Amino acid sequence: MMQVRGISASPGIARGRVCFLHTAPPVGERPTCSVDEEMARLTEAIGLAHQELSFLADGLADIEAGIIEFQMELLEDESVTGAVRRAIENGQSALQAWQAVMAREMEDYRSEANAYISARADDLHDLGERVAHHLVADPKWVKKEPLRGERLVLADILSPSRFLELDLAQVSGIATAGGSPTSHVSILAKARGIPMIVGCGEGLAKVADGAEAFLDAEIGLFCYAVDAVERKALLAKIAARAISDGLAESRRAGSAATMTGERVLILANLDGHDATGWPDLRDFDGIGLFRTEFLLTAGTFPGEDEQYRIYRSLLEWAGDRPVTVRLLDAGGDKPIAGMTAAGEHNPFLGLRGFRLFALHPEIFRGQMRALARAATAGRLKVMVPMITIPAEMQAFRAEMVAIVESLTQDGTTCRLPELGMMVEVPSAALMAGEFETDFYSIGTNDLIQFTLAVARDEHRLAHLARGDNAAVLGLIKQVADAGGLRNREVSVCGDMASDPQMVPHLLRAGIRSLSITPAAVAAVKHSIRLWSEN
Amino acid sequence: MSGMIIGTAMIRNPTGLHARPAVKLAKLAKTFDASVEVSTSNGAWVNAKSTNSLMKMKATFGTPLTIRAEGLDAQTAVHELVKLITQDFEAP
Repeated sequence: MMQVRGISASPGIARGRVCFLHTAPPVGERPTCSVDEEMARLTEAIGLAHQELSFLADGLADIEAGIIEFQMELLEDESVTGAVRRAIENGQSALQAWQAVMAREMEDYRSEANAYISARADDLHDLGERVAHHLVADPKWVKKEPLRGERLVLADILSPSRFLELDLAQVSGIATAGGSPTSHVSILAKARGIPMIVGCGEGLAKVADGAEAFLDAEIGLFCYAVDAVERKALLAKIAARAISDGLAESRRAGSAATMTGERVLILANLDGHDATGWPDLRDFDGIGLFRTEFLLTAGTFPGEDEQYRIYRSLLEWAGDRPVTVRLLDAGGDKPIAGMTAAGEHNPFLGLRGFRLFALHPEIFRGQMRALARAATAGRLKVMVPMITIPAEMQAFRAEMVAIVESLTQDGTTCRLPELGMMVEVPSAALMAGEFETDFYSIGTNDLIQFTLAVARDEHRLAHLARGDNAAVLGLIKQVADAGGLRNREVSVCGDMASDPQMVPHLLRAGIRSLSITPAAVAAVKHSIRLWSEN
Repeated sequence: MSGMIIGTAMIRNPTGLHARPAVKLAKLAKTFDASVEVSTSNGAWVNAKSTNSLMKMKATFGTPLTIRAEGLDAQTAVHELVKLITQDFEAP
């Protein structure tokens, strides 16, 4: 077995056939022609580069598109192309002129103290190469072989745009001779879940194109020319990892952090109490919403003791992870015969959520007693739906405290859980700081319908009922800010949190905790990992 | 000069006027025929249609920017650019 050592840039273990990507600097400059012809070469090369980049920019995620867009802008930038044109007029070849201007620009960026700006030198280098190769009409560069099957891509150095140009579904891993683990490409590879090692040096050049090879980015090792025994061991290692860590969906598991390393809590929304249908807890930092309406069978809510057993087993299952149970949330679009008021003209604005306490105090008290008793089994949090004014929260807290006191007097083991509120009504969002609450959980479905005056079930107005509406996001931000000021957790548990397209908006509004539908976990984490503040 | 329109706006992005905001600003500026220039309080005027020049202004969080435009649609140009910066580069 031959081994080449490198530095791990993106974790994982992979097998594949080697595919060399030509990334050498352009060679073989054509003889310098007249100024007009050099100008024409420049225009053509810029045009080709622009075409390639705009093709690439389609369908990329936020941060990836940002990298490509910036390069496309530079191609059209008079302060860059004007300088190149002037140098050509002064007798330089298009290539000389382009490379000199790009080198100067890169130096400018690199010397910048601001890390956001200096990191952009990578993009200038990337763009500089692309245009330079077109200027010398480098056939190796232009030729793009389709990748087939699992490929281990080897290159001297890989730029962000070359990385994104790869048919990434066919790429099992990447190893480069140069590069750094903090470069843009390494970040992109991590976000895409593609194992990668960098800084492998000369060794890679000795590997034959098409040969089978293995990449262990856990320990920064590239191996080829393996014998049958070694091969078996390596394949076993890959399989073991695939099983134990779920490498097939490796990005599902593990914590989620933004591009700049800010942790975002990922919680699960759960229905029902049948543990067989529950998600893999390893994918989540906790349960952000346990809906109790689903405990209703044939219109009746289970008694206190049965609920206690359900909540207890839920908490035991979750172990040291927090579990947020929502008090019965009936009414609105969830009418329950015999419980919710009949004949309401506008049930969304009627007796629903905690407003039903007045009608059925015994049902709520039974649930609250069950929760207080179960609270000793784990990290329980209880939240109340449809809170509109601070007095409702005070009333709920007083009820809960009284229940704990009475249970204690009876000698029943119990504990006062953390008590939080749902923020679904604009008044609650606007006055978030005024509520006596241990945490906030934003229910975006109702918040959207109330802010934009569009019923949740009115599909003809779906174009109005958007979570990325500035007014909705403004309210979310107010809650996030109020929570931040008072050191209270603010999470979002509405549908918006499970939509990868909406996640960047929530992060921008200051939300760092999302409670999502379990099926969305991989997509939501992916969206978070690609996000940065700008 | 008669046709010069001037406006001001504050950078509200915590990481300043860098790549993404600069790209958005230049893209918007390019949609106008008017010449559009931007400057920080103590800096030189730079072409708002050049992402590269905007980046190099190194306008950080809280920097007030002055925008000036000259040409037929100068009024709209300044209005729209101020709006974009004020809205923290979020497309409407």
